Amino acid sequence: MKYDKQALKQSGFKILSMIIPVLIAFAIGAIVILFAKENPLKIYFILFDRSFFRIQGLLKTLHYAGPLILAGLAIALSFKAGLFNMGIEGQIISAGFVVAVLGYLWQSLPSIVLIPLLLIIGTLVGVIVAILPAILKARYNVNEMVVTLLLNYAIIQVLEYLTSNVFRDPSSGYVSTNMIGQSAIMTRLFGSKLTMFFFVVVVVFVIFYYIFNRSKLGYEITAMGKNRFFAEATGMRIQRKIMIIMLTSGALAGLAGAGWMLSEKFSYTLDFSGTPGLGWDGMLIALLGSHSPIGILVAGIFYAILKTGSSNIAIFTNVPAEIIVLLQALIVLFLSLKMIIKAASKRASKRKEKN
Amino acid sequence: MKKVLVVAFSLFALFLLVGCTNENNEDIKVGLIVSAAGANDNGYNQFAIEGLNQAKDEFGIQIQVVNTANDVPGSLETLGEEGFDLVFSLEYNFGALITDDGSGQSIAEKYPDTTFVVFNAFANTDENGDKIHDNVIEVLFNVNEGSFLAGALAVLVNENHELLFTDEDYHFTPTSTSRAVGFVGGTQSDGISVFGYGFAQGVNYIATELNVDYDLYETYSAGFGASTENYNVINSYYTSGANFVFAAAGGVSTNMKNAAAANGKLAIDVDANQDASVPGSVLTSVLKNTNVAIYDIVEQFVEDKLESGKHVFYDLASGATGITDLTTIQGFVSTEAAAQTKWNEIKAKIAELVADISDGTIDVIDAQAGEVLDYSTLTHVNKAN
Amino acid sequence: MDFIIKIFSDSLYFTGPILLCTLGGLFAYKANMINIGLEGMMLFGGFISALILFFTHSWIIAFIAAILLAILLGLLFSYFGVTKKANFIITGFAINLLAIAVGKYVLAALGSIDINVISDVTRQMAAIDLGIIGEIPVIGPIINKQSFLTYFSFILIFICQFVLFNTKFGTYVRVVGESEEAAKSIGISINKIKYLAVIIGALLCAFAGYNVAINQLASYTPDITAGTGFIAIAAIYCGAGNPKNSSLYAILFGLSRSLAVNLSLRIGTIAGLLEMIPYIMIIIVLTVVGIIRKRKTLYRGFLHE
Repeated sequence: MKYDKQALKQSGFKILSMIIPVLIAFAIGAIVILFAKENPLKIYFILFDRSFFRIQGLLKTLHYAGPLILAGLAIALSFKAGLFNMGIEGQIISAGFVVAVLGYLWQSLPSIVLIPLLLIIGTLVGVIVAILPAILKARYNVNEMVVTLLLNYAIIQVLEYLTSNVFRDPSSGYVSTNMIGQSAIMTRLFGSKLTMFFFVVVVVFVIFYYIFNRSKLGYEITAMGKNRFFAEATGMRIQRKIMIIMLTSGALAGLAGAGWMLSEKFSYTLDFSGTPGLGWDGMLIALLGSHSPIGILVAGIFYAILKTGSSNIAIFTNVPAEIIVLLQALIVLFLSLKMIIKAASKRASKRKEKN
Repeated sequence: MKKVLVVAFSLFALFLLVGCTNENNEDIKVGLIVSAAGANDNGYNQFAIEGLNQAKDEFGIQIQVVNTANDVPGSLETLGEEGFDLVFSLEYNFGALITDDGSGQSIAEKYPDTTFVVFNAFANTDENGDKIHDNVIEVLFNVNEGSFLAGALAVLVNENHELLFTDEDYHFTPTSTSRAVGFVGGTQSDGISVFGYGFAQGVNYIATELNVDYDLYETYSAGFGASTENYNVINSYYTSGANFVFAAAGGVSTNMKNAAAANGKLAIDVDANQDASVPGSVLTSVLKNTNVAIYDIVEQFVEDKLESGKHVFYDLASGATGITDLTTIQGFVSTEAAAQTKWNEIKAKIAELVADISDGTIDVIDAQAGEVLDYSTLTHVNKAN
Repeated sequence: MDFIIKIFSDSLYFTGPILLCTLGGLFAYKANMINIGLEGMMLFGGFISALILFFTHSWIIAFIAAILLAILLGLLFSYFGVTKKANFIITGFAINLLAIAVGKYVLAALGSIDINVISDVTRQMAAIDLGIIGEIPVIGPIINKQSFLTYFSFILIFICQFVLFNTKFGTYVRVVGESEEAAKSIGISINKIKYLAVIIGALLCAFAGYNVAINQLASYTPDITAGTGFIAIAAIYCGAGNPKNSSLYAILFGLSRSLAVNLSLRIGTIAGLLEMIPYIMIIIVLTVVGIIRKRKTLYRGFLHE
């Protein structure tokens, strides 16, 4: 009984550490909104009301949350193991691009074959893009953060070239690949934005929930993140683990990119992933969710609310939609302070131990 | 918490109630979605918003400007759902509106009571040239004609720069050394080529008349943001001998104007009248006065005269496109009599060209209509890169 | 010949800001405080200097403002990362996001797409004429007519090399980086050293921002930094934090940017692909370095870090 109380307290701290940065960010955001001579309560009301408390809005939010949750899981998987893998963005757009091209070329295939095939291919593309940094890290200990960061830039350039030259839709007025065929489109359900892809995400989420919390791999990942040397000393084959983690993370990113293409974008354009990009959004989500699956689920949905809400703010108010970007940046800033709360929770648990 | 929400909501409701004016048009709701360049781009979008505001004052309609381009389909859908009667979309984003938004239906089909207006492309026209949706209107500006004039003007000024611009701040490459102009496009698309082709044709037209040869530096991959790379590319056009550079690439225009100022040469800007933005460094601007188009369409809509599913063209004669009246740069032309005479001759020549284009004597290639410029037909222009 | 001179002259132009960020980030790197926020700090520097110059028309006030903001950011980063022991990788990431967000928001509030300060920037400021040095054949035209900060960035290589290896502060920084226990045992105030290392970095990044926004472009937009801060991080890593070696990578980056820009004038659309050369190059360099290191040490991959 005593133990339960402590666990409760621990998870209480965890939740607090998620909520406090958000509250601080919203408080600062409110001041900024006041400077823009608007009522912050009104703005925040619009932000949440239309994207969460109305059924169509909620379904739209869930639709947006799908790829975000996957991206968050992809980041969490590697960050938790102490691997600063920044390549999610590059993997997402690569998968999106390949799926866009194939979704156009193979459109004569029936949906039932084509859509699963494309999702699998997208996943594989994510894996392939992740191979290079994974090998470099695992075999040669080349800093994965630098490699993945730079690789992102390189991928953006290559895809920009391919989209504006080789795979350009000549009839389009702007740089874009051909739109994928009807048979490749994941159709909307219940007259909302939601598609089957969301349910794919749910299944993947459940699998990863199990991996994180119940499997040996999940335990090993945590061990690696806490202390690599110790983990290696206990006989874990770290090199292989690095490969597995980086490639799985790539697979999740690839699936996210493929799903975003088939359920939302339908053709690859240079702003496919938006600004700052799904991969970077995923980083915020992983942080916000403190690298735990449930946390990521909540954070992903919260983030999707911001996303849906930002266009509503643009449509229904006079505050620049940039306010959302500002809020996101502030949230990340104060999230980095989470350690304080962790420290506080540790102190609390120590006190408990003494008692 | 509940109380706070109630207060917030009532404030919101109050906000909605305020601000209705004119008689029976007040139930007409008009929305406008700005493009990625943003509402304050000093041109395309900003003009459009001005036009819409003017229409609001005039007709007492309700308006809503949507300042986000990251989810155009979503915004179109929201405006449709909110029962807007007329929606302008300034972004190049037509897939969901015309073809399919993922539900097997296009947004235009879903909201048949809303009239959508798109710009700069024949988005609502199929391969056979037939219209696709009745409730979509395409607006096209013949900026190819304005660009033609800009090209012609550049050559006319370049041939006489020693006479016209005597101020020591100018450092033109003399025609005895080389003759060159530059074009910077944001991306390889019809919406950008329409400027580039017209410009090249204009340069070629006057160069042919004068029997001189021009080098043309071109890029179609600058993107739409200012950067050190773009500055450097444009700077090298200037240092390689180009005296005039024309950029149709959004934010890159700042790079161009600043590079022009640094080199003591001239830039040609686009969309709005930017002549005075860096005074003395901008020769002229190719105009795309979206305000005229927006106001016209709202007026027709209010008066119930708007034909559904048609194309609207704005050419030189409409006043919605063309080049500026050159008053800013005129202030930098030498006050000597010979220079003034030459300057007036040049302006007269431009007026002549306007007349020739308007009556069809000169046919300027229109990339928006799918026409492609065959550079080999430009006898007096050589691609330099 | 002119073309080759131009390539090298442009290399200097592009190298300047990269070098400033590299040398700036290096102290923090050496003190074990990897600053991911170099990009954001540079962007903040460019933003504030353009904003202040625009309103005051005085480059001195603008420069001072950039310095003050840099110190503030440095303090913020170290308060979070050192005093509060926050995850400084994430703090740095947040600074990058914040720099973009603040810039975009202020531009939106000002109702403009950029802050153009061309009317307050003189040609003399942007490109210093070295006089007689500029007359030297080949070398002259390459090094002539750069901005003060670009020249300064090259001098700074030697200053940093000296500071890091020949001064008490430099030694302390290295000791703190190598072993905090050791530093503590000889009575070094670890936090003070880390604060200083971060603030120096923030200052140099602000200079880089000033150099780009004021001297090179005479305008600010939220994307003027174009990954310079991240490239600097790569350069720091490749040179293992040694000022001379890291600078060499920074210069290599400047050179490849220049090649990409200049070649694009000659070969047309494929030029887009050239822009990825610097990134691929560094990855190759890192790989080769990694392989060589692995051959040298018989440690298993992971342990040697």
